[in-house]
Amino acid sequence: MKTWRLLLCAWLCLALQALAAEPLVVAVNNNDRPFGWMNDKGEPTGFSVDIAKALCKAMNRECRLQPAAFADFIPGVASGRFDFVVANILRTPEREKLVDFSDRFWRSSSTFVGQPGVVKAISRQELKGKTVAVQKGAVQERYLRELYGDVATIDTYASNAERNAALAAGKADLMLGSTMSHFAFMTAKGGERFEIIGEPIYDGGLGGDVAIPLTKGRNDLRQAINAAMTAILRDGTYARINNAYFPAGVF
Amino acid sequence: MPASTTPTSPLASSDALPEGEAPRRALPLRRLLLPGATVLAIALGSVFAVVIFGQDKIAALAEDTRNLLLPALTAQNDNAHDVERLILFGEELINSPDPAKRRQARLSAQMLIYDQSFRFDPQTRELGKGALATLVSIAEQRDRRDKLAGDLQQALLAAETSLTRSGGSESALRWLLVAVVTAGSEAALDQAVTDLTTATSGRDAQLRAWQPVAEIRRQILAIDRASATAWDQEARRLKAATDTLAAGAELRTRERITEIEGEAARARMVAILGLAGLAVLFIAAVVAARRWIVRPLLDATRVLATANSDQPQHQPPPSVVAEIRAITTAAQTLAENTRALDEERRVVVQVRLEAAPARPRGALRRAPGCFRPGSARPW
Repeated sequence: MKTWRLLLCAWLCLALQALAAEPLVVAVNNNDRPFGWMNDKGEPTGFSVDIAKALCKAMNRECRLQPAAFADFIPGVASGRFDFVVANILRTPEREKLVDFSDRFWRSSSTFVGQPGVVKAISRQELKGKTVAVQKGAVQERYLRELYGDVATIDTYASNAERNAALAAGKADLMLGSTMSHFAFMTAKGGERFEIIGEPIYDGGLGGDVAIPLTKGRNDLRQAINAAMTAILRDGTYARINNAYFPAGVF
Repeated sequence: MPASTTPTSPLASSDALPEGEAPRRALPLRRLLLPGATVLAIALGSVFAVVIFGQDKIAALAEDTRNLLLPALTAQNDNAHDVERLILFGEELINSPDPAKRRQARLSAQMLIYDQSFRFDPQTRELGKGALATLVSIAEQRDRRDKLAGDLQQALLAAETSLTRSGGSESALRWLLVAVVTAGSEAALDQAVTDLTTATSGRDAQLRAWQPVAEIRRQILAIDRASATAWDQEARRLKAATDTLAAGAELRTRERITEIEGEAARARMVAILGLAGLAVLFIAAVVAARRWIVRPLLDATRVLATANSDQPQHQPPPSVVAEIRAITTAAQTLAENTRALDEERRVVVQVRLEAAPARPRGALRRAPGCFRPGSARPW
């Protein structure tokens, strides 16, 4: 009997050790500058990617970065394929039903971008008959459909890069998305002709806290992520990463 | 004896009062205890409530500091930082000859102003909007300047061509033309124009092809001056805003800390005063108990203890507590009665002793037995 108990204990210890050594699967954007994209070497890079690496280092955990499309993030976390996602995902009540969220990771707002003169201001009258590009599954899509779905054509794209390309190619008159994401587009080649139209939008769920979604019920992981976030804010890592990608502090 | 009645014994302490002084009305113990306990409970409760209220206020201030003031101070601090960055972007916008860099600087400034830190109060928002309007205007002027600079190159080429066509050595004119193109101020331009006008006066009309150059240069200088003036004013406003934000953050922090300190000092003072009041009440209660309860009881004990002695009887002052007064009165009455009985017995014994010789001998033999305690037999 004693031998069996000893064997069971040894097996449990080994199993726990194996679980502890298992790297965390962290999903990041694969095509959304400046948050996450694949560089020339085929490695993920960007603001979210650097933050993810810094968090893993602060948690003292090995992480496997998994580039993925935006639409795959929440289902991936809900099903347990990803331990957590570091991307531009606003915390909304609908998403909170599916996944848990960490504390704030950065603060976002949304803006329309288009060619000056095509649309002078954002209103139902101005948007009548226009085509607006938006990332599929983003909160901006729901916002557009609710407010302008009956007057404008809403074209959805799998990634922000595809949405940007559609606007640059003239397939859309406007696009709606994260303000900071637009900054990268407008300062890059192909975005010179475009400007922000109207004021940034914070209402209707289009602005606010961007948090890290993680599998429901994993409080230990949530606490570890929050502690790691505090640590990188305190030691200046966050500020260094922030300044490398954005002109303003985004936390 | 009912508690509320005044003792009627001839030896009641009220009787011992000096003539003309009315005996004080005695109050039953329950009537004293109930209000006394109520006063003490109210006093204790009030002190406790005031201390708790003070603590609650400090706790509320601390909570408000954490939930509202600190985020506001952080936003104010971030905003001061962003305003400084905005000034840098403005400097780049006004000084950079590269349109791409100027666009990046203008968009960066726009992103800064759209950031949360410019939204924490209406004044800051207006500051941001004003700065953005100035930067957009400067960016447009700079783009127009770039176009004029292109035109200047064309006009300069045309003027040089005219000079070449006119023939002869015109190096002096070329130098004057260079002075026009490189004039850093309107005064320098005016001087160069005057020199060129003098040099070309009454000569070939082709030599006056420099005039568009001077005109474009004048427009460029006007744009530079307008942009610099607009930016100087904006930069001064932004720098003043940075200083104000920094000073505001310090003042708000100091005000809140002073407020918390004031509340803490007030709570401490209330606690000290309350405890002092309670101590006074407690001492008053002890003094009253000693005077109206303990002392009369001790006096009554002394009276009873000396009831059989020949010592003079002490007349204790009357207690205001009815029950205590009844006890002391009863003790005095008992002592007086004991003394009277002793006296009476002494008289009886004396009488019997005096009558003893007339009694039979057996009766005399039994006589000492009647002095034994509890003896009721006559001898």
